[in-house]
Amino acid sequence: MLKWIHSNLTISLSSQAFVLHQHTRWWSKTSQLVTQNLAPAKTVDHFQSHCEQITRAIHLNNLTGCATTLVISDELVRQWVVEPPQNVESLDDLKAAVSARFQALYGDSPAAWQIEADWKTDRPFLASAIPKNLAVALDGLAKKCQLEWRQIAPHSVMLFNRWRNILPPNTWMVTFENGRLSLTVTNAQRVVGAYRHISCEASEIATEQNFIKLLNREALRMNLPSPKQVYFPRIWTEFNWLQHTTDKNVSFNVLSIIYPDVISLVPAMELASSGA
Amino acid sequence: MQTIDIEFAPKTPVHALLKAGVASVVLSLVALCMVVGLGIYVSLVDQVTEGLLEENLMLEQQTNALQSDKKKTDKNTKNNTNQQALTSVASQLNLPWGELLRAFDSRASNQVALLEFNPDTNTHLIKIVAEARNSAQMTNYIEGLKKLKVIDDIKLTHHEINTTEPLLPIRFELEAYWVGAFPR
Repeated sequence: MLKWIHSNLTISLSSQAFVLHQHTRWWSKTSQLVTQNLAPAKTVDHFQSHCEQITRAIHLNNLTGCATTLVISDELVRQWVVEPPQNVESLDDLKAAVSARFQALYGDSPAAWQIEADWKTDRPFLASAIPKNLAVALDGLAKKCQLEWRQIAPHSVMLFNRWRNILPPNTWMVTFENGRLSLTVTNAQRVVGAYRHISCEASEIATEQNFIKLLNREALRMNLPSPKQVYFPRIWTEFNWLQHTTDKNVSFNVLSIIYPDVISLVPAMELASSGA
Repeated sequence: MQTIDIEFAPKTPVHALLKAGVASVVLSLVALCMVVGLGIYVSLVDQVTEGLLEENLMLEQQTNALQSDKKKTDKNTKNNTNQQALTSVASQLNLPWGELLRAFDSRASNQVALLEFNPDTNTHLIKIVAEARNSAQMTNYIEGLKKLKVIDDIKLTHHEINTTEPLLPIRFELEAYWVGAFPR
């Protein structure tokens, strides 16, 4: 009863695995980590199958009733930037603009997606969408395990929010997850000015020069100047060259090295993303 | 840098509480309770202070009234004392000295001399000091006084031979009660 007041559970979900990380607050600081590969779905609705496996793991480890944060892997999410229309009168105008942009970018009907956005009327804003059958499966998971949702958000959004106070203006923040890059660009007003979520080949990120070429190409696509300052939350194994950078035009910074005392908000996501 | 506010969690009261932070909400409630409690306390203190001030005012008024009464009482007492003194003086003045002296003196022969005559108007006691040539004369005088109807319970309280006089008279003191009120 009221376990959610003092007990937190973080679920990190990717297409291959999930991680449960439980930690209690205040008087008894205990921690429990459960990592499990997702079995192939037996039904057409594979999100339903994933959530059933998570439900079993939660009951098995007596983690029901916790306040829960769900970190969704970027590969399960669609994210894009929307320019707000002029003379916006209501939230419905913004929602219509977001749906139109979604359809133009992906060619799908937005009806099968649950769309949420960082609604802004005066500047471009980021929108995200998760499949509706994932949202329905998560509702069922919360009911079966008596979970109280604290937050459900994409991995790159959570990482950006974690480090947002440290990032200077006009910088690029790069997050990497399972072959996918998320590029968040801040403007001079220190808000998100542009966002790209792309798949990349291993060769494109294997060396510093190749990665700079990729960044310059994306800058052209977003109609932005070439990046001067690039921030990484941590060094992924694919980016080992970050330890010995040579380019003098672009400054690469690793936040976990600059600020070693700041603990990553979602450490379990790395495990889930790697499918350990 | 502003937060990217993207949230897929259903908007429920518990979600809002968790997002705001349970500890901060609890602290806010505690702070609110403290503010309300402080307000109630200040209100109660005000009420008590007001009550005390009113009580103090009432006591002050009562004290003033009592002081006023006391002044009046003192004035009345003083008036009474003055009245009694005046009455006493009037009684003394109205005492028929001449008649009394004549009554006592008439019983004294040429062998007895009346030296002092002290009547008390409150107790009706009369003290007399006299001298007689000898004890027989003193006895005759006392016997003569006993025949007077206006005095009663006559007593010889003291007598001695006055050696300072060449004829050695007997000095004696008498007490007697005046019967009836003094004439006013």
